[in-house]
Parts: sequence; C-alpha cells; structure tokens
Amino acid sequence: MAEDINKKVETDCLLSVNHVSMSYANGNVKAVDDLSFSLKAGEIFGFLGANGAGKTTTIKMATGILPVKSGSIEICGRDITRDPIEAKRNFGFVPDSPIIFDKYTGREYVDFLGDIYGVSKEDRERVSSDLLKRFNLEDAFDKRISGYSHGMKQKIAIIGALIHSPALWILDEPMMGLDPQSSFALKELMKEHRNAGKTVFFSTHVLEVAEKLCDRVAIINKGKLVLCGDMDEIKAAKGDESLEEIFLSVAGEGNNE
Amino acid sequence: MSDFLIILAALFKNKFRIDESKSKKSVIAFVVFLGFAYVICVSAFILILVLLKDFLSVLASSYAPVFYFFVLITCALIVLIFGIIFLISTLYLSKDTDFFSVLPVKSHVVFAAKIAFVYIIETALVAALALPLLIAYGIIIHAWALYYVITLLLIFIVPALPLVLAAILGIPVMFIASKMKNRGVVALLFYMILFGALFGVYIYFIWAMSTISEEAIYSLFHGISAVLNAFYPYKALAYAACGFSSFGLSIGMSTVVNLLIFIGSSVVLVVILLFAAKFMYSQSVKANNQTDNSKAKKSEFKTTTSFRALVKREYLSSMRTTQTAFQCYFVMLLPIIISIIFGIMITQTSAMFDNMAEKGVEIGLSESVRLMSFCTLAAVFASTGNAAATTFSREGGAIASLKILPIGIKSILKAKIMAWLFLAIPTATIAVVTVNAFAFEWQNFLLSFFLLIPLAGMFVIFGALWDLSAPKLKWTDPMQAIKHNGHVTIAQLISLGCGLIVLFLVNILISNGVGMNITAPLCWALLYFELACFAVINIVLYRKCEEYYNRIEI
Repeated sequence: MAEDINKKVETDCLLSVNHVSMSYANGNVKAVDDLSFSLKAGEIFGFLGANGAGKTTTIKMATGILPVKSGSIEICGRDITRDPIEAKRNFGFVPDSPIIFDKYTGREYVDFLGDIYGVSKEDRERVSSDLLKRFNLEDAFDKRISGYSHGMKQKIAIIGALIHSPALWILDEPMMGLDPQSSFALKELMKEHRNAGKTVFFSTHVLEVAEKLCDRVAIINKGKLVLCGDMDEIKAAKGDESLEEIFLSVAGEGNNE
Repeated sequence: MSDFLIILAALFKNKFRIDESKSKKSVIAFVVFLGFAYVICVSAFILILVLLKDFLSVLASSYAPVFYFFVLITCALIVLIFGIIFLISTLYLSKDTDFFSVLPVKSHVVFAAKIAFVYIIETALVAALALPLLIAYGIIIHAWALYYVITLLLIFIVPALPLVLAAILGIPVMFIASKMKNRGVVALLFYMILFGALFGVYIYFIWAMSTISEEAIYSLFHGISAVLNAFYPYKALAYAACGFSSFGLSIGMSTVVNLLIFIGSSVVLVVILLFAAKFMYSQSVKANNQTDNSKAKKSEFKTTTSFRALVKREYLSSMRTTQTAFQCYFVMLLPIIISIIFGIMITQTSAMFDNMAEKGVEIGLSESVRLMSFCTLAAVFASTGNAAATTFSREGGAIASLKILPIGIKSILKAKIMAWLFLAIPTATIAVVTVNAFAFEWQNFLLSFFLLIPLAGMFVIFGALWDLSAPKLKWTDPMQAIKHNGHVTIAQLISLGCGLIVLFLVNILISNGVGMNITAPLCWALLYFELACFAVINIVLYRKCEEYYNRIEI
C-alpha cells in the first residue's frame, strides 16, 4: 500500500493552501487570515510564527482535524474537504501534543495504523525496526503508551506517521520533548525524506533548526502570511541577516498567546 | 486557612465541581431534580410510617428501639457497601497521590483531610437517609425530648462502625491489587464480586422464602439476629434514644450507660479506622513510587482489515481503563439481572395464583405479571447501549488522531456500533430467553424476541449516533467522559419513560377490568411502536453523521 501511495503522487505540488481563513469566537478572533502557500516535492518547508500566530490551526485544517470553512487545501491534488479519504492517504502527521491511543502498546499502535493504511507485515517490520533503533525505543515498543514519557510518545507518533511511507510528512513542533540524540535522529530522517523526493512540512519555534534544515520557510503573524520563500533568497533580500533577526523584524511585535 | 482545610476544600471542589460545558440552567435543573427525587422518596417513607402509625404506636410500648435499630442498620449496610469502594478509591487508587506528594504539606495532613472527606460524605449520607425517618418516628411514638437531642447529636458518629468494617475488608483487596500491574482491574473485580454476592444473597432469600419450612425460616432469622449483634453499639444507641432500660438499671442510668457504650465504642472504632486508613494511604504512596522496570514480552505484528482494526481498538480502549470497563461492560448485565428477578417473580406469582385457583379463587393475574416483566425489560434495555452512548466522548483529545486517518466517519461508526452490538445482542438474547424460560409460552417468546433484541440494537445505534452529535471531549480523566454524560441518560430516560408509560397503562386497564385479550395486544403494539420510533430517529441521525463529525473541533 505504501508503494501505491508513492505512485499516486503525480503532482509536483504536495500541499496547496489557497486563501484559507479561520475564525474563532463567533468570528471575533481571526486565527488564520487569507493564507496561501504551496509545497513542492522534495523539500523541507518550515512554518514559523509566534505563539498564537495560527500555525497549529493551519496544520489542523490541512490534516482534516478542523474543517476548512473558507478557501481550500489540497494534498497531492486531493481536496481535504471534498475528497478527505484520498487526501489523508498521502500524509503522515505528528501532532504537537502526542495524544495518541495510549491504551495501546507501541506495537499495537503501529499495527493499528498499518491496518488502516493497508501496510504489509513485512513493511511494518522493516520501517519500524529501523526507526525503533534510531530512536532507541526497542525496549518500550511492547509496553503500553500510557506509561511512556512525553518524548517517547513523540517518538512513537513519528514511527506511526511514517509507517505507510507518506509522500507528505507533516509535523507540529516536532522537537519538543525530544532528547538531543532523538532530535538529531529526527532531523536526519527529515533530510532522508526530502532526499527521497518527498516533502516535509513542519512548524517550529526553534529558529536555529529551521535555518539549518529548511529549504523554504513561511512566516505567519496573526494568521497572515508575512514572508515566504527560499531560505537563501530571503537572507539575500534581507541583507544576509540571521533567520532570528528576520523573524523578529517581520513577526516580532504585538504577538500574544 | 490551615493546610488541612485547604486540602479538604480542594477535595470537595474536585468531587462536586460543576462541568464547565454545562449551562447554569441545566445545573439548576439537575439539582432541582435531585432535590425533588429526594423529597419524593423521603415523603414516601414517611407516608408509610404515618399509615402504620397505629401499629408502630402499639409496637413502641414494648419494642420502640427495634425500628430505630433497623434504620441505623440499613444506613450502616449502605455505608459499608459504598464505603469500601469510596475508601479504596480515595485512599488507595486515588490519582492525586503524586500531586499531593510534591506539595509542602506533611503527608499526615493530606491523609487526615482525605479521611475527613470520606467521613463527612458518609455522615451526610446517613443524615440524609436516617434523620427524616427517625424524627418522623419520634413524633409518631411521642418520644421524649432527649430522643431528638441524642439523634441529632450522635448521628455523626454512626458511620464509624461500617467504615471500620469497610477498611478491614478493603485491606486484603489492596494487598492483592499491589501485587498486580493494573491495580484498577483488581478493584473492578472486587466490586463485581461484591455486587454479585449481594445479588446472590438476595436471590437466595427470595428462593428460600418460597421453598423452605417455617422452622428453617425461624432459624435463618435467628442466625441473622446473631450477626446483627455485631452492631451492638447501634442497639445501645437505640435503647438510649428511645429511653428503654437495660441491664436491669433505671431508665436514666440505662440511658447514660448505653450512651457511654455507643460513644466509647465509636471512639475506639474511629481510632481503628484511622490506623487502617493510614495504612491504606501509605501503601498507595508506596505503590505510586514504584516504577515499572519490568521487561515487556516481545510481541509480533498482526495484520487485519481496517474495519477489524477499528473494532479491536474499541474493545482495547474500553477494557484497558478500569472505570470505563466497569461502565461499559458491567452495566450490560442489568437486563439479565432484571430478567432473573422477574423470572422468579413470575414463577412465584403463577404458583400462588394456581394455588388460589385450586382453592376456588380465580385471579388470573399471572399473565399480567408476565406482561409487566416485558415492559420492565424494555424500560431497562437502554443499558445495553450505555457503552455505545459514550463511544465518541471516550475518545477525548485522541479523536484528532482518528480524524486524520483515511477512514470515513461511516466506517468508524459502523465499527463502533458493530463492536457493541456483538455484546448487546447476546446480552439481550440471554435476558429474553431467561425471562421466558421461567414460564414459557410461544406467543410471548416470539413477541418478546422480535421486540427486545432489535430494541437493544436500536439503543446501541442511537447511543453512538447521539454521542457523535455532540461528544463530551474535554476531559482529563476518562471517567469524566462517562460521568454525568447526558448521552447516556437521555437514552435511559426515554427507554425508562416508554417502558413505565406502557406499564402504567397496563395497570390501569387491568385494574379497570379490561381483559387481557385487549390489554396484551395494546401493550405489545405500543412497545413495537417505540421500536419503530427509534428506527426512524436512528435513520435521521445517521444521515447527518458526516455533518456531526465535521463539526467536531479539537
């Protein structure tokens, strides 16, 4: 099944966000305001913004957790609202707080996702054994997730998200709670995913990570896109400032949770 | 405020806090409903006392303390049964042990607040149950002034004895639990055994009353009164309150001696309770400090279809949390229990009426009792859909993980419904077969079979769909997804309401001399109409399921 998914990726645009808006509190609070950007195949795309800027809301809409009420979002050419099942087959998602099925053991969780995505037993063995080794989670794999630490839950969520080798890998604040070794392993995985011609879309607060890892970044502030482009181009345009300085100059003021 | 009072206040706030998602109106309505139900129940008991006024007045001249003692014993049994569960859950299985451990408060202060919390609630329960009855009884028997003073002042030490027994019974449970990985499962098993035993004793008494000889009944009651002597302090309190002399002393001296016996023994019991409870709490702290270093048994990947994976997930997630397992699985037994009780009732009334018919008295009510049993079963059948009625609420925040999967809501819904139908249908079948087996008749069997089993299915489907329409997802403890969840109560209220309306109608018709040839078809028609209504409601809800799912926001 994982192979099939890769074959389906005929489009160059893996994620397309078109004029998406989202309001809370009966329209009084605009979490996302006419947001548009797109992701190409074979890139790592960083989604940056202060707390409450609208990153998680955008990701939740892209993954189908929240409904897209205004605008549209396409994943591998499939509209998340009109064709949600096919759109969802093409991505793997790691949420910011890994609220996963904690009554399961790690293996049962991966097995469940394998069944849902139709991943063969051999592929489950292959993908999970590699990732378990990288994240040093082999001993805990057959224990209940409810007994895992935050970092361990994050790791099992990563393994679950990659079990069907998705074309698009979406991560919301993935470095939170990870130890340095696992953080390094995750960054390597992201690079490998990109090198395999697939796409990584992740939100983060850690600007140093984004600066080193991302091919392109988008910065949002109060739900609006304020900057989007190639990392090198942005730096050149802004006079070779660091990403931190650029971020502070475009999104540093007036941000509240 | 002292640490003790702060912790005590926190425990009360935590126990009785009002769900933020509930409107003020619904909270007021719930409180009014509770108050109304309490007043109705107490009024009913007081009315019985008033009706028995002459009998009680005669009894009072020589046996006044008997009723007083009976009320106290009943309260003690209630405290004993619920006290075991309450003590274990507050002192041993409590989830706040870690939280309190890190506060700059001495552990004995936390423990004292917890035991005070249990004691105050149990005292309030005893006072709410016993005081109205005892005061009404005092007025009826023209009790002396000291009766009211003693009753009002000493009611607060009545829970001491049953709580000590509860703590003593709870300690072995706690010991077994400490040896197990999942402490909650042991508690769940213990509760099931406790309720099973009580139900077994009840069934035994019903059977015994109809089968054994008068001599045997006399010796049985003799044995019970010997057991009740273990509650001697209550006897002493009853004697003191009612101003009865004992030990060959004058009334004044006897009252003083009996009061001393009650107060003295209660003080000793409270001390024992403190030691037992302290032991429980320290074991809880110890158990919480133990980390799980055990090596997990290596398992293997197992492939299956996405539908089966969803069904399996439903069972695993409900079973691996003790509280939800209790609510999902144990409540399903209710129709079976009711069917056994009614089965016995049918057998006994049939035997009684046959006996009367032999003596020339024609009553012909056995058919109506049978009909009522089907109405009652229909009324309680909503419990088969209890688990389904919280299936989406129990997901909590994890519903986000479900929403990102490439599975449509209809498939998820079908898997969830199927999972609970697999249990509800056999449960309903057992209940229907049981209630029919006691007095088998083809017509009733077929009518009840094709009514009650589909009705159980309808409740499962309705529960899941209704929960999907507005699931209660904001919780930190899985129990909050079930506790005070309107989705469970709405199905039960409708089911209970429909069953009781039909039952009421049957009673009116029979008492007005309407024959069974009219009453029975009308009763069945109404019950089948209820089934049809649920089928229509379910179709309407199912058509909206995608809309409901899409509007769930995390």
